Amino acid sequence: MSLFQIDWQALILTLKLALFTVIILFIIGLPIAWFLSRYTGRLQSFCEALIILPLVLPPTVLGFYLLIAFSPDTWLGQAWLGVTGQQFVFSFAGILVGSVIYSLPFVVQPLLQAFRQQGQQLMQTAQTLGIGKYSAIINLLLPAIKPSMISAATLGFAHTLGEFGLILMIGGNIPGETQVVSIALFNHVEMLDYAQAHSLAALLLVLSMLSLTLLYKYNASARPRLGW
Amino acid sequence: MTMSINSEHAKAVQVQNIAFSIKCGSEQEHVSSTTQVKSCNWPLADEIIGVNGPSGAGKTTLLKQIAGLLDAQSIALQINGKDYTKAPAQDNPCCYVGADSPLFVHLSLRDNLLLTCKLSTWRSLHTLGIEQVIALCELEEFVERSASLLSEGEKQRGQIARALLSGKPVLLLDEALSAMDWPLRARMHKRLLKLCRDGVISIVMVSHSLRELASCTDTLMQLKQGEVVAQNKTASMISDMLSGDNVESRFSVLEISFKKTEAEFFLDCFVLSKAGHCSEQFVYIKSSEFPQQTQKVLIQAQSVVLSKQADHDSSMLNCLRGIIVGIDKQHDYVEVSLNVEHQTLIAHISHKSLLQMQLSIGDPIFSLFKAI
Repeated sequence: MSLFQIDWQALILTLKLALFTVIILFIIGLPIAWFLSRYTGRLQSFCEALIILPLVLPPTVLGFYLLIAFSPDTWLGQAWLGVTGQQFVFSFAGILVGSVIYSLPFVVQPLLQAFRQQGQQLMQTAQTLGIGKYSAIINLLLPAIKPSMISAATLGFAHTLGEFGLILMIGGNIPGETQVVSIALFNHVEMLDYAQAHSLAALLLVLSMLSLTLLYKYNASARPRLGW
Repeated sequence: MTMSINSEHAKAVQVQNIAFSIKCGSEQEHVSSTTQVKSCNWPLADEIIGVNGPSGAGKTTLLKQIAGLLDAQSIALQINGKDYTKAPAQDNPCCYVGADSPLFVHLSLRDNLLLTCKLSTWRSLHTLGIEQVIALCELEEFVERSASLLSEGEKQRGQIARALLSGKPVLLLDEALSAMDWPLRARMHKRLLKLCRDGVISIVMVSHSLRELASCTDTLMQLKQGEVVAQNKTASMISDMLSGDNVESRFSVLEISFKKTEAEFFLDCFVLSKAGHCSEQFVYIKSSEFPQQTQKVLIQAQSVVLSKQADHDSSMLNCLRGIIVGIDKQHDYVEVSLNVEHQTLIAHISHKSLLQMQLSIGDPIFSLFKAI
């Protein structure tokens, strides 16, 4: 197997991981953001801190705890094995769960801000006009926060592209299963294959820069919401 | 501009009455001994109810409570005799229109209107058409524009149009015309009043402007610190309120009955009337789109001229005979109150005029003002 082939595999795996991560994050992130935007109870600060935590935590810490929690001799690891028929560690599913947690703040935060900014007022306006709740969510609220959804998706995607520590911790370095571009790059550098490392590094750089540039170009209204 | 408001097929479920009681004092319900309950009843049929009060008096809160928009309801609400205290806002027949119900800014104004027509569950109740409402609120010039690019006055007109299209029978207008200039506001007042009189909608109007309330409301309610302190017919309330501190500019309100239109002069001719009793004194005012059988006219105190003789050779068309009932000397002007056919007319004159004319209480006097 030539180095060139391995790199394609890593790239496709990375894109697949990023895409699945964003899809899953949207499915769980929209309800979480909606709930948090309306929740004002005692645990509000705690919930928000929990969502933001992966942003400040070293990825290796997160990876370490997931590794411990899902190791095959724990009940969680056993349960995972029972449901999926596969080990959690060193699997694609494992790194997918890891990156969903890792990229959570990048998706939830823009959605949360959008809901906070216009969610309640828009829903109240719709209701006083005699529009039902679910009809208002689908026909008015989601279209209204479309710029934020696009920026959430782009940020989640671009952030997953750059994962390293977490994947190394949970997934190891298995070509075709858990070896993403950033890890392949690390391998090349370790083997002093700088030419190959250069091409991968440039690819990641261009990919990330391109997605963010497109985001800003076509989604100008999302700009202020990128600030934390 | 011609406009037809076809009210024959625009038949609404007419809301005759809103009754509510506000729990004041303590917000905790179990301390019921300190809880006062203030009950109110608004007769809504064909009328506009005005709500006035100082900033922070709870006007917006009251309207939102009536519209069912506040979660912690400290109000017991009955509309047309049916209990709406716990009903969700979309089932409440009142539509709140104000700063807290902005246009959907991600859409064009037309899409705001179209979506409301499409999605509102009340829509079938009356059938004001989109084009009709666009004409009524004068939206033609900017209806295709994005709602985020409109000026404040344009947004407000859009909000009223959207509320009219929702099909809800009661509009709660919370300073909903405050950013419009006066000529436009006056046109909107007349059209909204016409919709009310035709039984298409009922309106509750919160405003800081006594002039606005005087010109289009029938009943007026005063709020202070969340409590209803007074409620009565506008005509009898307004003179009291004018003598208080909250005077923006002095004016009087005369009640008049329609006599005839003099189309060639663009004038409508009215007679002074109070409580259905017409007098023989004529009042000319500029023709309006929809002259009402009985209506009110606001007269700025500064524009009233006093004369000891009936005037027949000046350009002033209106010359009302009255009796001086009050002379109030202010720092740099004198406020003279007249009784004209049991209605109050206020004139501001200079100290010099007062001295030259030797006016005193009880004197017969003629008051002159222009028709336009």
